[in-house]
Amino acid sequence: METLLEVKELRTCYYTGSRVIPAADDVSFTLGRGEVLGVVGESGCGKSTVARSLVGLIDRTYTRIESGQVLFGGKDLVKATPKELCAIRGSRVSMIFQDPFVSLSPVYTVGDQIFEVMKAHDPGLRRKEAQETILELMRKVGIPSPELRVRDYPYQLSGGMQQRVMIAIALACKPDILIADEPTTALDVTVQAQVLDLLRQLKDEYQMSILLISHNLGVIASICDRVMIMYGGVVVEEGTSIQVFRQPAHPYTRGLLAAIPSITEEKEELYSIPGTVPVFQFPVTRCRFADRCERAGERCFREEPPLTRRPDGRRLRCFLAAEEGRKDC
Amino acid sequence: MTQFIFKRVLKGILCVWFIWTLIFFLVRLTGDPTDWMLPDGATEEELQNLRVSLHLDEPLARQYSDSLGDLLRGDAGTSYYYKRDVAGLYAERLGTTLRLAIPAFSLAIVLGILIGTLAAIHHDTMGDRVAMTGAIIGYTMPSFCLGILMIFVFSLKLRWFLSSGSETLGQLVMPMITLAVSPMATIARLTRSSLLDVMNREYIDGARMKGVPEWIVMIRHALRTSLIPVVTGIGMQLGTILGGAVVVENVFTWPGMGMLLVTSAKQRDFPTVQYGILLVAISVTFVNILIDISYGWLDPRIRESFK
Ligand SMILES: Nc1ncnc2c1ncn2[C@@H]1O[C@H](COP(=O)(O)OP(=O)(O)OP(=O)(O)O)[C@@H](O)[C@H]1O
Ligand SMILES: [Mg+2]
Repeated sequence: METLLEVKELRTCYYTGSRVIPAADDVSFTLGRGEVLGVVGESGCGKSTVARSLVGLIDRTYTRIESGQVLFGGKDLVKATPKELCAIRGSRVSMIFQDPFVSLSPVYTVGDQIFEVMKAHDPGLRRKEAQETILELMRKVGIPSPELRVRDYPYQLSGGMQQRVMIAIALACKPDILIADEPTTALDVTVQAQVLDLLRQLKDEYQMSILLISHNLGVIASICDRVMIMYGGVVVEEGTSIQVFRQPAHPYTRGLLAAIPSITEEKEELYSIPGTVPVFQFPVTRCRFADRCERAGERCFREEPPLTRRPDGRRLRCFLAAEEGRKDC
Repeated sequence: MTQFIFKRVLKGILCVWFIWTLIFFLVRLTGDPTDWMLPDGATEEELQNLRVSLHLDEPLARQYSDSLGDLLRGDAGTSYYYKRDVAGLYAERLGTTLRLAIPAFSLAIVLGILIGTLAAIHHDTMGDRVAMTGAIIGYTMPSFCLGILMIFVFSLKLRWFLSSGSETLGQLVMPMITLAVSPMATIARLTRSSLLDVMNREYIDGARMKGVPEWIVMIRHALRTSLIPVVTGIGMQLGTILGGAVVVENVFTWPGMGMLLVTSAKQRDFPTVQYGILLVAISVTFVNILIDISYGWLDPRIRESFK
């Protein structure tokens, strides 16, 4: 598979007061053409930070990409100028957000907001000429009677319709990569399924790659080719969906999977990983999960395990599981 | 929409009527204007005659209903001092006041929004802190203090500008700035906080993600939505400008309506004071109606509620 995006040792830090928070640390991954990569982790694990760092969508007063590379289309986006980033955003890399209602401007019509992204990448385009394309796009993302809806303001639409508008905006310029940051979290369960179906169908039609962020493992399992598990700003495990879901190797991944309610098994009480994600300060010199890990040994508190590739192709950041892996294979 | 405007205008008229009534009785609490109108040593009989000719001998309720009736018929009364119709007196000075108030208000709005926007974009930097400290000073300093300070520095010490008069452009500079500073500071602070709030909304990132250049995102998305509270603030600042004009005109001897109002108040020239206040009330009310209507343009949700 052709590699479309390659992220190398990305580190993004937030500066709050005297603290430096490495919200994304040593993050490396690749995204192939037409591939769907899921990013999973509890709240605060740095998923959004990674997604936003890719396209420079960060507040540079408090946030800095300290090191690393984001290689896309022969360029390192970390070093790209604002102008170069503008040319890529919305046309080659698009993003949809968690809550469509707050992600759409309250004061412009749906049609104007779709037009805006088209105009940004085709300055000569007129609103009237674009009308047909806009309606076609709205039809494609499943908005009924687009001729009427095109003049609506976001507050006049339901959450599901708003998210479809967001998707229409994201797809208007036929991007190579769609970053979807929890695109279904704010929606009703039935609508979630519809939106996921839509993404799956559009992915094939547009031949695009998707970086899908979610803390809902069901969502991830249903659509992703590969999964990346994040914890405390680092990637702890990454592999194909089958590898990660069938044979989770990292204690954190196992915990996440054990915490899913199951219909087949009768459980007295749902398992949950004890504790919450702590906020780390730079530099980190220990395994970030050690506090919550049942199997953590003395070494885990002294040294941060590196992200290593196992013979089966999956990547893992754990001293203990790595040894086990050697025995398995 | 028409119904909305109609309701708003009706409320405005009631408000203006209330203010006029209030001032009608308030000026009459200040004393008897005939004291100074006749030379010293005038007899009690002469004074009484004068009171009768001005209808000041009649019961208050009667004076009130007569004045209101005259006003509704378009007769604002005759100045005790100038012995002329007060409408004409103000009309003559309107131009002079506008020559001060319009540039001052425009300066306050344009610079206020500009400073506020820059401060929000560069929030928490040195420039932002300097601008906002300046704004707090400008907003707390009374205009007569600032006016006198400016006269001291620029007229007496540096001799750059004349301290009084309204003939040349140079004479406009100091009163205009004095009048503009406080509303400018308020507008700048309001713009900054409102814009900072909007800048943290997700849809700003949504617009950035479309590949729209940052400055267009700021103007088209952030500034436009953040202007809604700013527009209200601007409306309220018009009151400050009109009130400030009264003070500033007196500090800089700018012969406009504000000076006429203050002199008339000192002389207990009832019709002149009443009419002056009426004009202020009408302009503030009118602008507020315009502001309410402009909300509809800025925010479609409000436009919806007009229907
Ligand atoms: N603007 C910010 N300033 C300071 N710290 C921040 C900021 N944004 C995020 N963080 C911190 O960075 C860490 C990662 O945040 P991020 O939003 O990337 O997590 P996430 O995995 O997307 O979580 P969620 O599932 O809640 O969206 C968190 O610990 C968070 O507290
Ligand atoms: Mg997030």
